[in-house]
Amino acid sequence: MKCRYCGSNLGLEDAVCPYCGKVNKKAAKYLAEKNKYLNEFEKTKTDVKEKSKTAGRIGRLSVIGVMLILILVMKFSVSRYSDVEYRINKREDIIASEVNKNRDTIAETVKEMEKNREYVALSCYMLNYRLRSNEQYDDYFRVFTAAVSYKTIYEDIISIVTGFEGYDNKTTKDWCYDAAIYISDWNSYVAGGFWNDSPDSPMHAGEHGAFLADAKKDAQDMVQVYFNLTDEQAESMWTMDKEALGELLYESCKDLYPKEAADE
Amino acid sequence: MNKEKKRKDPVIILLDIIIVALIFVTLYVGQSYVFYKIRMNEETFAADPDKMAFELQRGDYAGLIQGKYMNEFNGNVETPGYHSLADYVEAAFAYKVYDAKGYTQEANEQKAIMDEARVKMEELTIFADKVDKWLN
Repeated sequence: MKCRYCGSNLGLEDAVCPYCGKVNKKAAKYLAEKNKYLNEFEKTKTDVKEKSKTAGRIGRLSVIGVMLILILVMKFSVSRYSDVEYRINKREDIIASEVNKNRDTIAETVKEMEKNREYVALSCYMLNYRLRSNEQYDDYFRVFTAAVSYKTIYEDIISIVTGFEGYDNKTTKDWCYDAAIYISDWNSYVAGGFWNDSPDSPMHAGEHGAFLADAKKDAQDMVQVYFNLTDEQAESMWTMDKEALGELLYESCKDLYPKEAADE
Repeated sequence: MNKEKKRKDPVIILLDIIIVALIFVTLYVGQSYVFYKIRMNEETFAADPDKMAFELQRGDYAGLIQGKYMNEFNGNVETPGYHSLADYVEAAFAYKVYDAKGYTQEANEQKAIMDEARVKMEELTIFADKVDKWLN
């Protein structure tokens, strides 16, 4: 800028002209404005710093809060899930609700399996949906017991034939004695002798009765074929003592399914 | 020009340390959570491919059959090869009974199931051959 008195060059912040010594009024105004803006700038800068510090703290506190909630929720779940009883009950609840939701389909499937004499499938189905403890299936109680007994005898035979030792090193003799228990108990638990079933019990009526008779006959055929029993032995096995039957089964099969052959 | 050294807020430093510590705590608790969550889901009778492979390796054919049924009931279709082998074993065991007792029609039905299952089981036919050997 130029001095309004002598016309020489002046700096913006020169309070007086260095050539003529007159007062430069514009410089005072300029300096006042400059100071004002500097103050405002400093104030804004401090405000921003303060706000960003607060925001940083709030942000971090929020992250900590979320993490603590997450940890607490997971810790709570772990304490529930690590309780075996809780897990069992929870699974039972899930199954019960599934059974309720699909009541008609399940009832229809059970009926179909019973009609088709699918003993193994029925036993698995009953186990899957815990139908044995379901009041709706009280009339099926003997049918379910027959399916379970058939499946156990069937699995014992499969293990004998294939040389499977189970998960606790079972021998052929062990499997034979296990099958003998289920065969000997058939009349008590499947036919209802143990429970004193009345002859007109709905558990033995109609399709249930026919199923029970067929299950027994099919189990007899299976045992007779796999243990190479005579007709007489097969028919009398139901009334034999467990020990004697176990011995008979073992003696009949030990040479039929030598362990060495199964292990090959 | 003098560069002003920025001093970090000590409160923020402390909060950052807490966050890092909490990350480790979250990971520790999280893995227990996932472990039990998986166990919760595993407590069904359904069998995944690993379980069926394990049963087969142990020679547990009865377990294989049960696994097949449980998978069918629970809509698990991950293991078609193992299911076909289970079908084969089941049919082969039934076939022997029907054949020996002279129930021709039933025996033929089981034979058809065996033939169909053999085609579907692919590389597992080696186990079907074993079953044939045991039953004959």
